Amino acid sequence: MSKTLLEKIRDSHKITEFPEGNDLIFIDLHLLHEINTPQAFDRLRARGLTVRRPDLTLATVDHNTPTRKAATLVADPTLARQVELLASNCAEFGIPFRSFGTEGQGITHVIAPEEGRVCPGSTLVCCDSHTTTHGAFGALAVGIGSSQVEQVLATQAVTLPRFKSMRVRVEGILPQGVTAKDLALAVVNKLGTVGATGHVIEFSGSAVAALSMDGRMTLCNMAVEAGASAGLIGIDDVTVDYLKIALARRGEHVAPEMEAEWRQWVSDSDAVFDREAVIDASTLVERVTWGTNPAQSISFTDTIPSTEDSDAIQARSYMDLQPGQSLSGIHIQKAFIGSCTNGRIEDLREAASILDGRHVKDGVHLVIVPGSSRVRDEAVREGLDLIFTKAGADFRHFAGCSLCVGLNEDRLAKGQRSISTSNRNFEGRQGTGARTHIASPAVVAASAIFGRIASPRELEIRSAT
Amino acid sequence: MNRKHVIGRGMPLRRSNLDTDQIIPARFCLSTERSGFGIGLFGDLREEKDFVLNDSRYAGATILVAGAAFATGSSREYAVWAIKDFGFKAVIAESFGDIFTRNAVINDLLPIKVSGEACLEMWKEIEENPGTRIDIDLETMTVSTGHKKFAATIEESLKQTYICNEDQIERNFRYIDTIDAIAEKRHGRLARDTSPFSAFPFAIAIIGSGPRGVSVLERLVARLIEDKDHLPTEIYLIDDGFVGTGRIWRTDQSDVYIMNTIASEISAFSGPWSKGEEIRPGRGPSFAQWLELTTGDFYAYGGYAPRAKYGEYLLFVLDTVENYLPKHVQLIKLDDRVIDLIEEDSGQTLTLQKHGTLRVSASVIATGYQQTLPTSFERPLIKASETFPEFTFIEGESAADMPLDTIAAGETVGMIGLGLSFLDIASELTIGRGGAFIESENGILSYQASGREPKIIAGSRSGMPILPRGRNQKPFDYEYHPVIFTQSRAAELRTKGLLHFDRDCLPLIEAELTLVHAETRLRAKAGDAAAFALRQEVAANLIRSASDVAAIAREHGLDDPVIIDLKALASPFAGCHFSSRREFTAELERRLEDEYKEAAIGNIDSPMKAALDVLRNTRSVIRTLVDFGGLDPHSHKTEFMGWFSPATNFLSAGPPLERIRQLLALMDAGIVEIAGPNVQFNVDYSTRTVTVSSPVVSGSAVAVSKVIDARIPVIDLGRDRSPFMRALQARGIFQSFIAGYGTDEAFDTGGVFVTQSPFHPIRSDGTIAERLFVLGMPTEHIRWFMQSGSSRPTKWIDFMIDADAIAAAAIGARC
Repeated sequence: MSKTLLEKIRDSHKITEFPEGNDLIFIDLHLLHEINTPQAFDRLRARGLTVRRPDLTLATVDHNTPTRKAATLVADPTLARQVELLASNCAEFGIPFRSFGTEGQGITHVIAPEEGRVCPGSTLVCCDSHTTTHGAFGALAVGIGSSQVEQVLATQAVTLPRFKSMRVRVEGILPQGVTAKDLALAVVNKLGTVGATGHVIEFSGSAVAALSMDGRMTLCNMAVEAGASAGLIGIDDVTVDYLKIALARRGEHVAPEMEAEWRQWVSDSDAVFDREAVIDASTLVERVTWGTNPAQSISFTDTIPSTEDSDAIQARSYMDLQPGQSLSGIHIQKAFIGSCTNGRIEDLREAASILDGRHVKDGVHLVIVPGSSRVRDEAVREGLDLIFTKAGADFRHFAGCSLCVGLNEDRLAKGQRSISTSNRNFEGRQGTGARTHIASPAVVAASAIFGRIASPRELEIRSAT
Repeated sequence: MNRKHVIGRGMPLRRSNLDTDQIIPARFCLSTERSGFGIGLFGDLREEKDFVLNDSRYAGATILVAGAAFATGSSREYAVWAIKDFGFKAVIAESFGDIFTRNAVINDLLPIKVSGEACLEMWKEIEENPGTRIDIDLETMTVSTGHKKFAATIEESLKQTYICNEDQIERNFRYIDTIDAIAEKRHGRLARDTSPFSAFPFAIAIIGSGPRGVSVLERLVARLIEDKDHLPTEIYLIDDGFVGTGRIWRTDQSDVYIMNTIASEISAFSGPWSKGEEIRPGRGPSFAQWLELTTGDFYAYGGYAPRAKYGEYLLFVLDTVENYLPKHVQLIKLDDRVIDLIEEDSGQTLTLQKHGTLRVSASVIATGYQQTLPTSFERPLIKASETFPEFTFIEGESAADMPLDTIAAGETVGMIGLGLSFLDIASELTIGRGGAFIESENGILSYQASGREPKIIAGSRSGMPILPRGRNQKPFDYEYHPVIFTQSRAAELRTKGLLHFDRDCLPLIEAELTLVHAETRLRAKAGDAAAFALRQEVAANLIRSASDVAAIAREHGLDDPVIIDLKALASPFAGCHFSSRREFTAELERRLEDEYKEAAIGNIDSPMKAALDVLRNTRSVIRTLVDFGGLDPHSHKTEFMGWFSPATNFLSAGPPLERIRQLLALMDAGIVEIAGPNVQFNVDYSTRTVTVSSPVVSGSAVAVSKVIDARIPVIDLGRDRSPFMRALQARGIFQSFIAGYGTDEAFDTGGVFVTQSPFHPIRSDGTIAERLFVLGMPTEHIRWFMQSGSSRPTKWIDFMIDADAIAAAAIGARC
């Protein structure tokens, strides 16, 4: 019988089916960070339990850690305590820990793929909703809460509902300048923030096949913004090549048998999905959010919608925007490039290509935070840091979530407006009263140059005249 | 408790799209406890007075009725804990975030869905009748209020999990053998992470292998040869592209780039050597002795050798060290760039651009000039370079690293600075391009062009090219013994609190120079004995001022002693105005010819050159006064850094005199022109031109198509753009030395804050990084004149004393 990729992974990891309809699923990799984990370790200790498979667990700090100066962490005892607790918990239970500032540290969803730790057909959980990122490798990757963290630490298995399957086929070719981020924003816009609840979205089609792994991670990362429990992309040459390089960095060679095993992790051609959606890639354009959830995005030719439902009214009022206004008239004070959505090397390259030889508008603070120490080192190796610094951007030394989650020193002031490559424009997320517009790295870089929301195309027009 | 019914008073939360960030803002998620989050529930929204949670009519509500898309977003279980903690038992909404519902049922919070219309009706009913009782019935799947009944839904798995309320971990353990088996099949048996650094030999990294790095290496190995413990030791010598020489002394640079120190006065070995002796670490030939052994010919510039030759000499020192490594010591040369340094318990982990990470026990940071971010002076030129395709700004670099071959023949090129780099670059663009200097029978030097030269318009603040050093008349082991500006007097002054440089130090220096000037003239006039007598009397009378020296000189028969005024000497064109470029050039040529003649007399016989040489000989006395915050901060900034330090360069660290003769020939040939004092580089965006001009030379504006920055790079940690220096600052290992810290006049010097010898960095939290050492350039401003790049053959000067102290301390770090 033909199966979807989701069913294949579930079948290969299912320990048992519980009577209430949940499955007990074996977990191949458990990622930890400092925020949602201290309580799980405390309960584990209180029950007299240990970590079942520390070797299948990987911890790092990303949410609250500073990106400019290490001293900030030391200076704030609340932040330092979470970091110290994770370090001591890892030491106590023998969990590999990528400590602050070390080579392997970074955002969990950036470092695990970099290390080649996310294998096709595997299962992965993390106490973070953007765990969906790892679905790009044909892995079932699900965000969980602290209680389930405890469950996985103790047993290396987790209770999960039987997710429904949904296929989003993106056919055709993305127009020049339209990125994976724009595609992700289009998907979320189409489905809405709870449109895919209870479903795992498998992305397929020629436009998805044409994406790099970094682009695919951006797409799967945002699947959760449409309410999906996970994103998935079947394995192909792009996945295999990425993994070979990542593993080679660790000195590991991929045997032909292993590659053959990987390649089976695709949906069967005649597999039946619970839901289907098709997107014509050629119709997609650059998108920027205008409102207070990631589904509220428009293109540069659209205007702020005039719909009179309470959500739209509330969003317009919070964002201080008027119906009929266009994106390019919206001035910004802050710009942010980074996060688990767009903090990888390709994202930094994309930003650098826009910023090279140009300068950030006076009065705009462009913060660029590498997704991992390795991303930073690679950026330095390629000279991107010099491009950023010369352009007047604030390129940070340490990797982390930074201005996406607003837990470290980077936060927006009340009423301050930013354009960001992150994933959530929720009210108050980047600071009380903060206003965030979400876009691709290229659009954020161009906007920083103009001091208002702008498409990189405007730069071409400017330099042509 | 009947888990199939939840009954309680409702709270109408008339909002959709309340994500978990709004349910509990991240700043409330910093606690590491599991309870106490009720206070953070809707933390931001609660600041609005009329928010429903603040409405006393709904106090005691246990069922929250929200709208669509409740609790989407972040996986934080804090959202569930906060709702529970506030007292809610159930949440009714049109739709929910996925992870939230899973978290909720585990925590005994019931998430239940009704239609959008049902939400609206319930809100209305509760608002009309606060205290309305809501009954959620999981058997009939209905939600009823006093008047109405609505259909409810919940995923079956969530419902059963809620009803059964079973401990998931306990349940999992019933299957633990199956779990372990699948784990072993997929991943093998449990392999615990072993520490990668459990056993490693003692390792020292030397980061930067210019003359300083090589000297530390030489002292390390000289000491390790004597080492009785024979502990295995690794030494990593790391340099980006030029291991053993550093970039400045690279061996592949043009021979027209010459040193400004006489070869016989330089040694990179820490002990003297005579012909026939064994060469080893601690004892080896001086640079001049090595040149004699190898080439025999280095007198083209009266004892000044090409920089490339010094690079070759440094490689010879490195070879010698390698050949004499004791068995227990390993030297690993890494052609790589350090981009990060992480302090660990007993050492550091370095991140290298090519080689990945490296674990060492101690690191010596001996890096040289760094590229700094542009200042407001350079920024318009950089912008012009980026905006006008026909204009290029060549940023400050070692001359050998500048893209000089992009300069076309006949092109008009501006140059900032009239120091050694200016002379080096001018040489490269002329004789380096096939031109030649020809001396006529009557001793006049002229330049024979190759036709490939550009036209150079250069300028500086003083408008005067760096002064040539006197022809050398001094033996290689010459030492000057000051009688006024002495170490003991400096040490005594230092005990008196913060010094004002112009008031407390400068008079002593000028008195010493005045003495040497008078003494030299007296020697010419009345012989050695007369000169000696003058010196004796000055010393005996504890003279401290130039005018007193002059008075005694008069008594000794010198009618018109010259009182040295360094400030005046450093700005030779102060107050001058010139009506044309021609007038300025004529005046400049006259002065340069005088300078040449004076320098030709020699550094013993020329009163002025002999006097100015004292500035070089008393650098260590100046350090005693100035280093580690000896000066009042205002004086440090405006006096010492503001004029004195550049003036000593201009007056006493110049090129061999031949260079000035060559410059005159180039000016004569129309290839080099000096723009004048207070040179300005103006960018005109309307005409897209850059011009060089001097405000005190009328009609001096000349348009240029390139500008070369030929100044000595400024050391400024805050503006340093190298990843390594930025990493060290980000990690709080390096911080700038703030002169006058805590006072109104405090200022950031831009030098790395270090302890006294052996120069450990002082971290931003005030602690000392005892396994790190910083030598040379980065410490400029907390110490002085760190650019000096060599030690002397017969005597350990500060350069070698510092290197040895670091070597001793680094080896000491083993215990």
